[in-house]
Amino acid sequence: MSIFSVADLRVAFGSREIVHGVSFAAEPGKTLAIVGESGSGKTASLLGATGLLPPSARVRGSVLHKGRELLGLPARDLRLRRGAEIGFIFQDPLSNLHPLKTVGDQIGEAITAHRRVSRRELRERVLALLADVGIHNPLARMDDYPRQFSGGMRQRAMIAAAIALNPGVIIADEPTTALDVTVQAQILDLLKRIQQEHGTAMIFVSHDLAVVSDVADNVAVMRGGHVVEQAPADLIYQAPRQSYTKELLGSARLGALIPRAWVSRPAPQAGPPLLSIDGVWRSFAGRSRADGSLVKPVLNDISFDIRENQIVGLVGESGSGKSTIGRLVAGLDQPDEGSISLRDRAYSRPGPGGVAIDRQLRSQIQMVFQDPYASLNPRRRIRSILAEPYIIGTGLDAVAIRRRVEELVRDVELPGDVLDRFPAQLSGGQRQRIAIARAIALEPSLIVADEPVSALDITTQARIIALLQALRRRRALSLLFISHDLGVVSELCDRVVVLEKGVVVEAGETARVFAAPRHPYTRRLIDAIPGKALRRSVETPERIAAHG
Amino acid sequence: MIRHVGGLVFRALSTLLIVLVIAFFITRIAYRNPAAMLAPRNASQQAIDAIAHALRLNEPWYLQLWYYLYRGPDIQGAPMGLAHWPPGLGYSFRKQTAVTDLILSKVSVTLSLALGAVVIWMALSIILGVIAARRQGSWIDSLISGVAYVGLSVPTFLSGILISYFLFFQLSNYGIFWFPSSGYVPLTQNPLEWARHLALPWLTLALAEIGIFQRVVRASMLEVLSEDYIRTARAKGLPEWRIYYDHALKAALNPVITLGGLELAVIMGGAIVTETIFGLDGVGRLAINSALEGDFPVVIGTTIFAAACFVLCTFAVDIIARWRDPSSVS
Repeated sequence: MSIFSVADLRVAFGSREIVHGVSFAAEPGKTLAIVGESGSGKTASLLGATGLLPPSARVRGSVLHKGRELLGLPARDLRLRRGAEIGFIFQDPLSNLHPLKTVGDQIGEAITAHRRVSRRELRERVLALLADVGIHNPLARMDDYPRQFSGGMRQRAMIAAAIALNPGVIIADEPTTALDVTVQAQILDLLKRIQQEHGTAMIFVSHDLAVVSDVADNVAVMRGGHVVEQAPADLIYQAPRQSYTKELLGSARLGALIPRAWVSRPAPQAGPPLLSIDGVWRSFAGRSRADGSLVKPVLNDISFDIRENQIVGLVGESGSGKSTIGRLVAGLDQPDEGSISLRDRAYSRPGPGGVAIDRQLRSQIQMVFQDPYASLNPRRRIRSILAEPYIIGTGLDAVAIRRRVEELVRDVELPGDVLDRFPAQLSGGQRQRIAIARAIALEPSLIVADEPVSALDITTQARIIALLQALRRRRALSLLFISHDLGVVSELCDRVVVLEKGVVVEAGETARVFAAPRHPYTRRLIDAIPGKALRRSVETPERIAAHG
Repeated sequence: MIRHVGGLVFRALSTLLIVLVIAFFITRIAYRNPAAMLAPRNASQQAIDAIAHALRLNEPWYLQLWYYLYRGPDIQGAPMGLAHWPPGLGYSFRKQTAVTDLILSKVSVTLSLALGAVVIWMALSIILGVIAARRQGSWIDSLISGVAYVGLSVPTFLSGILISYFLFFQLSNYGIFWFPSSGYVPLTQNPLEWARHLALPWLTLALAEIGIFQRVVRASMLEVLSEDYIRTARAKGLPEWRIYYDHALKAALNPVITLGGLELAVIMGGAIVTETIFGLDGVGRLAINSALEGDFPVVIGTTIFAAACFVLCTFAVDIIARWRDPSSVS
């Protein structure tokens, strides 16, 4: 018997309907996963069903919670159900927590919104909740502000607020998308444990079938405001009926499965050494959490090489120092000790005048950043964004630049009409293609890509990875690929460098590292890759045979 | 934190010193012949020269500046410069009093005026701004915005006179004497009379400020209300009043506090028009009168006072920001 069900739900803003009659139901003790790309209407339908959309939204259809119709309920009655009987966990725990209120206050609020409790009892309940969701030393941390928490701890705090009154239904909207793999695995375990302890019905929204496969009992696949397929989880993995579900599964395989790295790939023709990082140390001023000293070490004696036409993956959790290495390589920062050289020319070294990078060298190393929304100037057309490197770096005339820019857009597989648009008129994937086009414009020796696909939907991720592979076939491409996502790294990279707390703990051929990790940290990262259930159900006999 | 405060104090003092030097030069440029302005109307040239000599106006500028900063004029054998205790800002030519004493005697009026006004305008702006944001686009929003716009457009000399006309003159015609037309009673003497005497000037100042601040509160609220954490607050089932007055307002106050500090500083430095209309003997009137009379030690003194008000208010805004968000300190 379902505790929360939605039937023929329609959500419209003005005359634009974005959810076209969806139906699904959540049962106690079970997890219903709603899967789809961003813009498919999964979040809108859940927010619409619970009265959390702005008043300009029109919501029709039927939403039954414990047999009561929610649509048309007075705002007050609906409010009394939210929090007390329906708990919510949202995607980005930083933007979803109030920056000026302590974490303890924000959890306590979930209680005081519905119950009268004494100050002391409230404090005790908040402490118990914090301990329950796995925050160490809750007494010391409850008066911290969200900014003082790590991403995983913030998400735990948000879960604590959601379960404060032990609601029968929990709606979790992409609860792990902003998190590292290892943290993601912990959060998923926590959610599963809570569900088992209380028999909660969970509605789990995600774009990633691999993550979903770790928690879901039932799956509803959404696209363009419709539920295109809905079935028990195993059935979805083994016998998807819709081609769109198959595409999602294909992309999920990228994140969840690492078969290709296991089968040894033809060794890429890596050329002579291109970039070498040699004994680099870097620390920043600021209080270290570990020992309270005033210098926070970030990189300890980092050394590795990148050869011509080689893609090197740099993996590790947030805070491991990956991005710092990226910045050093790009010449945006300089090391305290050690040196970085491109084709035997050291350009980054410590001491006064440290970065000896000139314009010529700078054009040889280009960057692609994580957030394509933030890294393109919103007030400039794509044409002018792409023409800029040529204007600065070459003496080409306007006609030649125009031709180059058009070639470039074709190269990243975009239609020519994007040139006259602004970044905001493009999708996330298209924007990242533009960022890549900008980076390859001057045919640099090396591209540093810092989490280039992490902000994208899983299907878009797969397409960008395919693009990078195609670019590599078309032109020589040496890439330092920084990512926390091991699935993506295993698909794309020739070599992997594993970073833990500023130390290289393991480095080697991708196939070797994934098949036989030597360091326990690498093993932990690989174990945390989501999608165990998916792997089990998709692993066909032939493929197992192929692994030998 | 202590290092931070130390840095702030150092910056504040150096700012004030720079202001002082600039004010010194401006008065020397503005008053071409101060001795003539100070001398009696039909004074002989010898008398004017004697005054200039006595005030060392014939010395080169750097000696004059040094003299002003370090020693100040000797009055009855007592030096009144910054390098002496208590540090003084010189001696008024007209009032025959130390500038510092002169300003201090007017500070209580100006502070009462400014602080009372800031409380009224902040409270009203916040209430009206939140209501307007909550009913965005409704007739209440339009009405509040309209009234605020009028308050903002009407200059203080007009609104002050209108307020005085209706709330003092017209009321007194009907035998209602709620508000006196002018004058000042110290707070320590009679708090009720103090408030009664200041009510109309407060209202005059607040009216203009509400025009600005109600709009800032409204705009800032609307921005904050679209934040994810407001949705989270709704998802927890918090009642709407807590969402508006606790969650949203708390975050929306940032620009209001910053701007409030600046506006308060302007008024503390002297609300000349309001002080004049309501016959309040404050720093603003002192500044304008001494500027007209060529009493330049007082001009410099009131300039420094206004600058100090700015420094103080910025400091207060900084402290409030740190208190509101301790996690930003690190």
